[in-house]
Amino acid sequence: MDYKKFVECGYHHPTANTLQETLAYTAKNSANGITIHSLNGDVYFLSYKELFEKAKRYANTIKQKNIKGAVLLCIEDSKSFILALWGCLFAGIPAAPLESLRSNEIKEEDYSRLINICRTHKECTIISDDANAEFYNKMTEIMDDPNKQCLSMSELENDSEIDVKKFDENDIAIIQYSSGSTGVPKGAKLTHRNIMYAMGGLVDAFQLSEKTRIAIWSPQFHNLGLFIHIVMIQVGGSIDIFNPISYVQNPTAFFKVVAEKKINIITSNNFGVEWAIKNVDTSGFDENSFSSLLAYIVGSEVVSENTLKRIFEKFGEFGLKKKALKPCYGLTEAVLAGAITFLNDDYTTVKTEEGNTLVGNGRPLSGLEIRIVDDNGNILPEGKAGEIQIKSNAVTSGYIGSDEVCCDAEGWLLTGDIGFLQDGKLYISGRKKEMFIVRGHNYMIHDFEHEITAASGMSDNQIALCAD
Amino acid sequence: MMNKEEIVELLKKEVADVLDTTPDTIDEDESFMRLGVDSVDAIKIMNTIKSTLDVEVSPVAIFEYKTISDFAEYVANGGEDAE
Repeated sequence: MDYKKFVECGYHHPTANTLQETLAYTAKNSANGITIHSLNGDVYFLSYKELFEKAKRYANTIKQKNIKGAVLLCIEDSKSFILALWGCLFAGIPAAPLESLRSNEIKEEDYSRLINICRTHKECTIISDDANAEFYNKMTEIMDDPNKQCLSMSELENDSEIDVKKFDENDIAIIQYSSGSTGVPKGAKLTHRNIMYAMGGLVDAFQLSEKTRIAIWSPQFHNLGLFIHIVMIQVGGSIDIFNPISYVQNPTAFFKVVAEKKINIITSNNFGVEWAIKNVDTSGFDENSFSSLLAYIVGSEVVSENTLKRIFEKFGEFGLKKKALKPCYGLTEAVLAGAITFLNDDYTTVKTEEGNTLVGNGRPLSGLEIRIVDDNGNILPEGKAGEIQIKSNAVTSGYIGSDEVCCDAEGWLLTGDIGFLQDGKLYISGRKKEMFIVRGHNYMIHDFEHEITAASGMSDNQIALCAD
Repeated sequence: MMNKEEIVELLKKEVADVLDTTPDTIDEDESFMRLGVDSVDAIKIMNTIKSTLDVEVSPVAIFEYKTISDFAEYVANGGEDAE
C-alpha cells in the first residue's frame, strides 16, 4: 500500500491494511468496546475481543453455507448488525447494509427498493433479525431464483471459528447504497483500501485514539452510524450506540449518557440537532455536563447556521463549547466525508451575494484533494462556485452492477454538488444533481415528478420540478 | 367489518386497478402470480386492505394466501397471524 503521501499529512494504522486486521489488532490491544442501548432499554456491552471471537464463528457459518456474491444486511438490532457485518468481513463476502423493512408496516416503495437491490446482485443472501426471517424467506422464495436466499441471525451461530486467512486490501468490503433514493438503487463499491484511507482521514481530523469516547444514534445502515463504529475499531476507542427511535422518543436520555460518560464526540444530521433544540429537557444538567464534548459533528444534509446558533444557545450554559460544533460535507462515494471541520478549527460562515449565510464544511480530509470546476472543465479560483470534484484513495471505483462512471479519466470524482472554496474551507451552495435531501434521505427530482403525476392523475411530462 | 364476499369484490377491484382491467375479468381462485400481480403490487394491495378495513395483516400473509379467495377468507377472519 502506498502510504507515502498519506504519511506526510495524516494517520494510517500501525499494522493493518484491511478491516479484519484492524479488529484483530484492536481485540488484542484494547479493552474497550461497543455499548449498545436497545429500544427496550436493555444495555449490552460488546467488547472488541468478543466481537472478534463471534465474528470468526459467524464467518465460519457463511463459509460452510457456501454463500457467494454479497450479503444484504437487513438487520434492525445494532448488536446483531455489527456481529453479522464483521462475520461477512471475515468470510470475505461484501456486505450491503440496508434499512430493515418494519414487519408491522411494509411500504411498497421500501419493498420495491429491496427487490431492485436483490436483482442488482446476481447472487445474494439476506441476513435478517430472527423475527423478520420468515418474511424475507418468503420474499426470496417468490423471486424464484436459486441465487437469492435468506438467513436468520440464529442460523449464523457456530461452535467453531473460521481459519483467518490473509485478506486483500483491494477486495470489496462494503457496498453502500445511498439511503432512501427510490430510483434505481446505486450501491457504491468500497474496498478495504478505500475505507482504510477514509478512516485515516477521520482519525487525523479528530485525533481519535483509544481514549476517545463517541456516542451516536444514527442507524448502522447509515454512513454516520456504520463508519463511526468502524473508525473506533481502528483506534480501539469506546462507542455508545443508541437506537434512532429512542433518540426521537427521548433525546434527553441520549444527552444524559453524553454527560455521564464524559463523551468526546457525537454525530447528528441537521434534523437531529433541531430535534435536540426542541425536545431536550435540560433541567438535570449542570455547567459541566457537556464540557467533555470536543466535537458535535453535523452532516449528511445541508447544515444551517441558525441551527448551530440555537444549539449553542441551548447547551452553551451546560458546557458545550462553540468550537465543538463541527459541520461536515459527507458523501458515500468517498466512504464518509469529503470535508470536515477539524478538531482545532472553529466552524466558519460566509454571506452570499443574495444575503444568505452559508456554513462552511471545513477542510478536505488528509489524503483528499478538492477542486472546483466550471461547466467547461476550467478549474476555478477561491470564491468562485462550480462543481465540487474530489480525488482520494477513499473514492469508490463505481457502483455495483452498473457501468456508470463516477470519476473522470484523471480519477476526479464528479460529485454533482455545487460549491466553492474560501480560505481553504468548503461551502456548498447547491446541487447539480437534481435531488432533495429530507432528514438525511435522498430524493431525486424525477421521483417527485413521478409521485405528483401519479397522485394528480396528470399524464407524464405535465409536471416539471426545478432545483432552485 | 365486511364479509368474505365483500372483501373478494374489494380485492378484485384493487387487482383490476393494478392490472389496468375491469374487476369482472378477475378470477378469484387464480393465484395472484398467475393473474400477473407481482409481489410489489401485492404489498400495495395488502396496504390498501389494511387501511380500508382497519385490520392487522401479517406481511407474510400475502405470500401465504395465494388467491383472492384465500386471502379474503383470512382477512374476513380478522387477519393477524398467518397460517
